[in-house]
Amino acid sequence: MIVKLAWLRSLRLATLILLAVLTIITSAQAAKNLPAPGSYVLQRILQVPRAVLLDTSGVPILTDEKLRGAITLLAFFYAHCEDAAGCPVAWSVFETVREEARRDPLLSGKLHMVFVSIDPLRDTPVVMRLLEKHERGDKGKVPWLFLTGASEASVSPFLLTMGQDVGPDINARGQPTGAIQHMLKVFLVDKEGWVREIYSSGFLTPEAALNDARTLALANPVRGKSKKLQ
Amino acid sequence: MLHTRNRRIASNCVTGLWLFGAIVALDVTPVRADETCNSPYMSGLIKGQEQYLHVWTLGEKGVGDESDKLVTIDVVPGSPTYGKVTHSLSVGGHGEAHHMGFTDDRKYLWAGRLDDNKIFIFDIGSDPAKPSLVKTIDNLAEKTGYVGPHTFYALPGRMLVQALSNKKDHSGVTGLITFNNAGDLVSTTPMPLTNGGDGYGYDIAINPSENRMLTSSFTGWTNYMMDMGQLVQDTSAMKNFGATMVIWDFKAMKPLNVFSVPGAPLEIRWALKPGTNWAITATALTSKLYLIKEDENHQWQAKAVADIADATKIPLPVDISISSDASRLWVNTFMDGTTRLFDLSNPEAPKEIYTKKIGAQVNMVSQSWDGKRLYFTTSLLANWDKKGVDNEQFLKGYDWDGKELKEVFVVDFHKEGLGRAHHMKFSARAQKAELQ
Repeated sequence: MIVKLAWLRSLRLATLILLAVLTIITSAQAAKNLPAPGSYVLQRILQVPRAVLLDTSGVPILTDEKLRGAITLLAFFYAHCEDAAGCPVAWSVFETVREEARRDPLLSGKLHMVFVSIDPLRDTPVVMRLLEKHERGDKGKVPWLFLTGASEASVSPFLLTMGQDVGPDINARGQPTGAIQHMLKVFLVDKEGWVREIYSSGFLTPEAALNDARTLALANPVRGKSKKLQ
Repeated sequence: MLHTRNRRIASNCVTGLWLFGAIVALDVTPVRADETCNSPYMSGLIKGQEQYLHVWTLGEKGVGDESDKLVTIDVVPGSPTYGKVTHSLSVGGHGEAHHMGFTDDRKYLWAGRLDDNKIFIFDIGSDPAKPSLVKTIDNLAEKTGYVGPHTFYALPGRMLVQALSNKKDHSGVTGLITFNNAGDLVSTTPMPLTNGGDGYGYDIAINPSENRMLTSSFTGWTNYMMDMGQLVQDTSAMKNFGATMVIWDFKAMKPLNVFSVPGAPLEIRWALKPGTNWAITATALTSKLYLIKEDENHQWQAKAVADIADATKIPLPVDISISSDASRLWVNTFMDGTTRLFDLSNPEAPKEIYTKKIGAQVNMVSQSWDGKRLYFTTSLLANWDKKGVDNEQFLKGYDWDGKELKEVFVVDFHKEGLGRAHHMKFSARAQKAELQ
């Protein structure tokens, strides 16, 4: 793991460039003409189903309970993702959303962010803890939680109900490459556990997510600080 | 703003194990359409060779089992079953099968019936060669008050359905219905009846980058279920056709402006070429192409930009198909069974540059992403199709070399005992992964 972290540090410059480029691209395609926050109603698309996942300490949590009480931005990811239009975009958008939200009284302390791994065999709680540690810093006002599963079977029903397609990437010889094919989707969940918006690859922007999160906050304010996620 | 954000990112950059492979071609530009006519929110774009063509087919009295069915045809050139029906799935009864639409993950195909309002959800992703029926929604009218589920438009995790009519008076006043992908009702939205709105609906087309949605307008159950010969003689009924398009704030699902577009504007296509920002439609009764575009004051407007054939002969323009580079538009005219190619180089003044007779009647047209393959089907509505020998029912495949359409296969839906061939959708095995 030490080797991996050193290797990661060596890629810091490339990472900076990558994220900047990605952010510029995603910003350039930001939806224009968004209505003012609070001037519209987001649909109740589906309720977050109950599933047992693991936090970074390996402690089982119930998704439907964990995601209540706060406005939550949730994405499915995996640590080895190589799809430039997938996980890195979500990560970049989450970073921007968190920076904006922590300075916004409407969202600070009331918006949570959650990454759920679709690769529980490799993304163990230990790996999740490393990622979460990177994201903790002084950003406590907008907590970022990393969850995984005890097995693929424990995560699959959750993915299925949420409408997140995943599957093994197969090369020309019919062999799995180790990558996981999935369409990037980010879910905005209200404090009652309803999915109120879904952002798919190519249409995920910080502006849209923040606009909708503020709309939820205005429509149904979360009083004071929400319950702690961690 | 961008500089500020980039500085923030630079100073707070996160690293993760996934990043090592991310420094590859960064093509995250949103695709605004799929095989030129589907929802931009749909994944699994087939830019290469489509493998299967699925035809939503109306059951017809005296033809085969008389049931509506989803017919699958192998369309891979060189395949032993090229141009042949390889699968047929009857759903029982005939309720005016009409249009279809894939979910955002392209795994499920929703297909509607305009008469009994049933919506069938087929699993295409598991095995596109053998679609299976996984769910039937049979309480649309009771749940929503709307009837005639017409357009199926994928949204992330949802399906937006444009109805044509309502259960109360069967007029054209109707609404939009949102389901989640599991088939649960999420919301309904009435079509506008104020500020010039006639309340009618037909097609949906969304431009996500502008947060704008366009809808068009047709007619209600009373008219679309009436025999066409009777309908055209009924001056009162002929007044009950849509004459508007609506531009919406899509996020808010609020109508912003109603355009006067007389003569039943039907299919809407946004230009797909990056940098373009306009849409086009064809009016069935007035036989015109309308351009929807922002004016110099950044106000969206709809204006007639071309005639389609001789409007006095009522050629009845039906389906249209725009090329992926937005330079060409195929327009079918039902009454003369002809397809017409318009040059859209200047969308303000489209020019007809090619025509070809497809059959005694023609309705739908679908083209591959590269525009080299086109497919045509015949049925418009069961009671509007021609009678006798002119009631040809087929799927015809063509190659297009930029100058001439060359017929490459024909499936005669009567000889095959299938029925009336209507809406088409492509699929291919090399799609995104299966659900675990």
